[in-house]
Amino acid sequence: MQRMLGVILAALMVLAAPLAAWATNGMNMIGTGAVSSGMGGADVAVPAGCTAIAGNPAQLATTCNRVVSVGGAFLNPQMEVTMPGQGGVDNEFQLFPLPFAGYAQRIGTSRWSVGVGVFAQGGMGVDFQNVKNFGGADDSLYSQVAFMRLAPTLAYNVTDKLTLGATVFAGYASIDYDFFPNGMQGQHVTGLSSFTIAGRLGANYQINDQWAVGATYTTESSLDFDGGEMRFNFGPGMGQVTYRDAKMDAFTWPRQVEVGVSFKPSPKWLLAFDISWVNWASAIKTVTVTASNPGTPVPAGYETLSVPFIMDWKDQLVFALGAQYEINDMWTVRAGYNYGQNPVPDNTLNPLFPAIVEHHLTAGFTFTYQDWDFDFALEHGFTNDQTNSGAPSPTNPFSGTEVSHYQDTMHIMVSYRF
Amino acid sequence: MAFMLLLALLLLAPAPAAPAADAGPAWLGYAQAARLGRQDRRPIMLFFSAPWCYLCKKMRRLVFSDPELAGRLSEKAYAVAVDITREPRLGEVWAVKQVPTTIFLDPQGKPALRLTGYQNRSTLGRALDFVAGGHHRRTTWEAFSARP
Repeated sequence: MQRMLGVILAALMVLAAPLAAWATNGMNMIGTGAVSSGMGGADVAVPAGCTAIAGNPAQLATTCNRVVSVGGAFLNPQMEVTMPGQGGVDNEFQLFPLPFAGYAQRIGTSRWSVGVGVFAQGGMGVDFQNVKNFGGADDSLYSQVAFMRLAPTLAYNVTDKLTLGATVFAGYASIDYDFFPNGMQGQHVTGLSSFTIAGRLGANYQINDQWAVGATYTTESSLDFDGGEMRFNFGPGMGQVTYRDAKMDAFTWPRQVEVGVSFKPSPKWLLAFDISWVNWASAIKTVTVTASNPGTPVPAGYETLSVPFIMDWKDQLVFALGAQYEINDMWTVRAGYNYGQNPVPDNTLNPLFPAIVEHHLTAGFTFTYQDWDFDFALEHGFTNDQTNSGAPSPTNPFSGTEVSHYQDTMHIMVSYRF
Repeated sequence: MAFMLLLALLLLAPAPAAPAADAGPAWLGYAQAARLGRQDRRPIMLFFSAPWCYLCKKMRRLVFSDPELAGRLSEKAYAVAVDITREPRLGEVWAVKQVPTTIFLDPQGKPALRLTGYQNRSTLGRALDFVAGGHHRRTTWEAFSARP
């Protein structure tokens, strides 16, 4: 069963390739879907359709009959890395498609709603070409972390005011990276993948016609990457050796707690505010890549290589504020602001995994025509600069390196009710 | 640029006013509307909803609250709001399989038009004309609603 789900998700990832997201609350997207993203990701206590599958599952219970949604986002990161003694190097142009497809329905006029969807949870990636390696030669830094989830979801109206929901996440993740592959001890790693299961519980309480509160809890997803291959550069003499079995341990998608409130000051206005706690400190500590089964003979002691990435990310608080105004029964406009503390410590900053953007501003709209909704949102992540302040050491090779990053994302979605 | 335009739209939107009860037509009870409908030879509009139904609330907010439509509804028909969780028997009688569902009855109490799902002001206004004007006896809703 796990294998079959893994194959399905892997196929979806191939169809959506290149899928790697430069996600922005750490490695998470600030919101899924143009409605949530248009409100800065403030969606815990806001009615949703299919996108509740990726947000608060309790909001699936606002589905009135059947709805299918298809869409996604296009993300364009802009980064620069400046290593000590070098000029800044810009990231190659990247435009990542982040798909979403979902279906939700109420079971008759009962209190139960069900749905299923597949979506990009997040990820990250860089592509720095023509950057000098530690030996001074032209080289590259490249990474691509992609995480996709298939999410069957159930919601139940316990009372007219209280709704509960639950989602099972079947996730599939992949990682590739190049760490100065042309230089001494350089690595070219491909094909690491992992299947994982997690879950999310959600609740929404409609206090009155104006106020609602919501909360979610998401379990962590332990990702045991394997099935990869590493080409390791021993430098002059031994040259490059391909290790046919590579795996990565201790890379985890974090647990998360979210609480949110929504308020309708007038019939046409909706304001929403969420606070999230993301437990990166438990999820991303020291990630170790282990390579074995070399394709050519190697000296004793080199049959297995172990490469640690000391990351020690910090827990993250995310604040999301959104507003929505219904102009009439066809047009709705939205705006939002999202701040997520940078989870990457100064002393372990690694340009391969710099998820450092903090401030986001968003705006969007929905155009409703008969049974169709057309959602659109734009998201801008403002520039954040960070410098590795740790002492140089074999486990902190990027001491003194500065990374600068901003990004723009466009979200679109089409929903049909029937 | 588009981003700034959208932000400006939001900022220029009317400031939130003090919350007000949803305006709308005069909602009557089912029995009262049935009696008045027969007596005054007016159609009845049954609006089936549920507390969890987001689109039902949206119709209340954006469609029934429209003064022009609400005025026409109050003038030409009797409106009944049915919460299927509180009046499940009415939902069964009228075979309501989803909400929102809007059913227009002619003055004799016979179903003249059934609309399922979210309806905008324009569609609901035409539906009222269709039934109140007696067009449902001469043509189909599809043909009537397709007229310019």
